[in-house]
Amino acid sequence: MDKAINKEKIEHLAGLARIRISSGEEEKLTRDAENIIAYFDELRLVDTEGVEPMIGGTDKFNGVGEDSRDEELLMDGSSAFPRSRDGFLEVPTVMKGNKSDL
Amino acid sequence: MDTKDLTIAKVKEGILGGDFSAKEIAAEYVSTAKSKNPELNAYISILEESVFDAAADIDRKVASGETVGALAGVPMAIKDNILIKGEKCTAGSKILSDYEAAYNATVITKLKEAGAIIIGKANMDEFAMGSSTENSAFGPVKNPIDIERVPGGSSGGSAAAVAADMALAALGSDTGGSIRQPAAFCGVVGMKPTYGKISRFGVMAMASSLDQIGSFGKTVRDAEAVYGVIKGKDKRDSTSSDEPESFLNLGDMSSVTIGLPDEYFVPGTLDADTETAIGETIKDFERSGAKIKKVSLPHSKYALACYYIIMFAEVSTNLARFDGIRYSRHSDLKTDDLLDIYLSTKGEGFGDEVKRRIILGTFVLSSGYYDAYYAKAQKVRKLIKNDFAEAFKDVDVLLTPVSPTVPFKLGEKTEDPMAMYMSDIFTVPINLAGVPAISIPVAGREGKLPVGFQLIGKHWHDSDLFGLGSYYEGL
Repeated sequence: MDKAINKEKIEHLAGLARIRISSGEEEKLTRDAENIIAYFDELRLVDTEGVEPMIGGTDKFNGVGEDSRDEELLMDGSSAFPRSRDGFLEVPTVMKGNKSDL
Repeated sequence: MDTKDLTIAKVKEGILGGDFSAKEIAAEYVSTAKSKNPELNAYISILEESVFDAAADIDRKVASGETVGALAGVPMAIKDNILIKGEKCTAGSKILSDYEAAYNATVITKLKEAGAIIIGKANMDEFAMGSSTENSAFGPVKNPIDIERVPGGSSGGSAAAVAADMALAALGSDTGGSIRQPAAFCGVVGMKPTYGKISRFGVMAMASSLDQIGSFGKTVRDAEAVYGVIKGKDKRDSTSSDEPESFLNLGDMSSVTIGLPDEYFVPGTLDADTETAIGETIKDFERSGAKIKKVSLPHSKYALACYYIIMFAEVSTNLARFDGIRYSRHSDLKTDDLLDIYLSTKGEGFGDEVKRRIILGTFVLSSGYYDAYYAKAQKVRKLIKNDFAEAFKDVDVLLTPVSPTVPFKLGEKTEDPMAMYMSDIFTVPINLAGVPAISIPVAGREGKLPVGFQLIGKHWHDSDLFGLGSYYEGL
């Protein structure tokens, strides 16, 4: 049977999650993942025919607020960004090419 | 000043009665925190400057006859995944080692209004992922009762700080036992309220459908006093609620029925110390007149697998935001390539356990596996919740152990993630169901390793747990 997890899949998943992992980490992760997923497979034994999934932590409906500005929350959020310059947040260039082309 | 026997009520009484000042109390706790921290590592940072400003403010109010809040002068430790404006907030992670919070969590605003004095930010497993506080980028926390043992986790710093008189009370967060298990391991009280009872605004999300902020104290009444200040609906957390609470009639213990779920007492699951201590606790309640009744929570054995699937999935989405563009950037990174920034920031900034959970969360949500794991777990979660609802038709509360063992040794489980996950076996079902639960130290274990018992209540019946817990302490 095709194993749910192997080294190539761990590499692929790490890529999707945008995490760079070393080959040593990859081996340990694969071993641990095999054990953990084998444990998850126990859920197959549970009969869930006709059971509605529980979504979220509460049965309560989502609260709806007024569509207004929360004045108290107006803040300088620059501390949530590692770089800023002249009052602007600095992020890397995402569009390549000459500035004159833009 | 001897702080060992202080409680929140005594602090308030002493400050108002002029026996001592808020400044004297604060100085005492800061001094203990500073002298014990090199060994215990309970705090990531001690906020010495703001401590004395806040204490002076309380003393000024008392001197001028102004009213002070419910927690006036109470020295507290705050888990380092809860934001305090202008202070560093690391969540125990290297990726946030330089991050400074831009706003206050709702619970912090409420604590400050009530006069609490925040001594420091408590150490924790990275992003609250762990059961021993050995996964912190700032080093492990040691158990004040036996420094060769773990304090439990992930709120190990909060529990250790209270146990070692480095704070009188503390806040933690509990996603699968992260308040209750460290409370049990350190011999203090820890409360995980009903999901929705406390605003999560300003706590770093780990698994949003399971996370809940709660309190630690040396006594049930202290944990309740903190809970009383932080509870309630908050417009900034749409899952929070002001659902009315109800109370058991504790004047007549014979009207109280305590359930013992069979699945939590399977022979061979508990170590000898825990088994004896929990057995004695049941007898104590029985002698007080309460009815004891066996119940069944038939899906309990699937709770741990169900919990880890749902939590991994939510972790993988919640932690995507730590991408190097926001919050942090590796300082010596020489690239301006976007993908390279993502890969390097996360690869170098996250620890092993965090990577493991994000990658496995990505797996259970991925096409081809989603239905078999994530969707299946959501259905099993419903069955687990239904089990509790069924049991609560016959009983008022449930009594169980918190952990199958007494505190284990540092390093004992760090190499085997499955062994570590197993220590959460009695605490995760509560978060899946969203019900409240409190961990209370079993009495009479002076000189021995602590054991905690857990009282689990119906949704929004948090007060029942404080009432019954406090009754036990008075026996």
